Amino acid sequence: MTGPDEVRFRSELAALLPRLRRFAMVLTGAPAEADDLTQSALERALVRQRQFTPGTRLDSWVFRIAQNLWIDQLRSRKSRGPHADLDAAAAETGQKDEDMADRMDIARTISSLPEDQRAVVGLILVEGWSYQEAAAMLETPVGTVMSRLFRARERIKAALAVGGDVS
Amino acid sequence: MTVKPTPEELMAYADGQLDDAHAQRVEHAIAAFPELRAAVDDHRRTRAAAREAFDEMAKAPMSPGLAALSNSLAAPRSPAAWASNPRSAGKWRKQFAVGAWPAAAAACLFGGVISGALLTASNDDVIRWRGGPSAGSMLAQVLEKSPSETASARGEGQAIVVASFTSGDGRFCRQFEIGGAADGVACRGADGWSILALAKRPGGAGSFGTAGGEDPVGLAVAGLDPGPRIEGEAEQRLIDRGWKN
Repeated sequence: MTGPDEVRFRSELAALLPRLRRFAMVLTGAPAEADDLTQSALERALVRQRQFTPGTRLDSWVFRIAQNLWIDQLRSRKSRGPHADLDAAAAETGQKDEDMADRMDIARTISSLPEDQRAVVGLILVEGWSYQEAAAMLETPVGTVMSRLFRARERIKAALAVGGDVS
Repeated sequence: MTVKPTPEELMAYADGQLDDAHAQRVEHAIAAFPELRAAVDDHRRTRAAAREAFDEMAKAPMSPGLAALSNSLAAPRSPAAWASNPRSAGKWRKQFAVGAWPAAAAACLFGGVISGALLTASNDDVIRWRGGPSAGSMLAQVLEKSPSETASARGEGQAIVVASFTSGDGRFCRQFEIGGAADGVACRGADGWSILALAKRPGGAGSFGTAGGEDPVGLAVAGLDPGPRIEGEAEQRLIDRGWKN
């Protein structure tokens, strides 16, 4: 890939970066880790761009790279700690109102979901991929994706109910 | 008679995932059993809440490294220079320089692939191995003879080349993978291939090397100021001629 194709490839990566980063936040539950994951995924996409099939969806390819990198990172760890970084994120955005607190509660709830549920929440609820697209990216049957999503939603629903009671 | 949809069908309906005919059947069911409406509303609320939560989190400023990469992607520039950003060269060079990659661990992971290689940091922003892959080693053969991405065996320890390119200083370079466990980049000198960077992938045996978010190989490639990919017949010609123009 050379010349105009490469320029277009780079600008398309730039365009999808915000969505990729938000997805990485769902996966990692921590802005610093999310930025590292986003950066790694984009760098890997650049290095491997000749493996990308023109005419297919670049965003789906890069999201899959990010998902696979994340799974690799998880496997390399003995265990995952809690998502203390969420509070840092709250501080960094500079807002501390009640709505903000509720949103952070939901983010925290999602971040505490099992890994496989978090991925479907990130892809489908946050990023708006279809069930079929998410299933293809995760190399998982659609039925499995749906049951994971359903279970994840039960937890989010419970967190929303608690948040509603408090406010 | 109207059949009640399953909970998952209701969820798919709420998410707009059903085809028109299926969605219509669910709508009829909701009309017949109004209590189903609450489940649909719950699904829409959870979707909105998840989206809002991470929209909020995404307002956090980007890390300097990601911001630099973002700028470099958005700016029109020479196609050759990619992924260069200020985050990392210094950071990962330091990481390796302090001995995060003991030669023993490397030898353990790469076994017969690279024998006797010792890692040294040089001052040109890449990690150099003292000496190339030993003559006749599997990696040396792959680098010399295999076209990109066509190695038949991809088992543990097997190397494949994923890309060939010319560096800014006119050398032929190849990026490779070893058994899904490590990535590297090597360039051809007059007397063979020398490995400029080698990074274990997270998750492989023996935890050393790349911390989260580091991609030393990508950065080393960027540091080489790579030109266009060499592929197909052009690559095969170079292989046939022993990497001489």
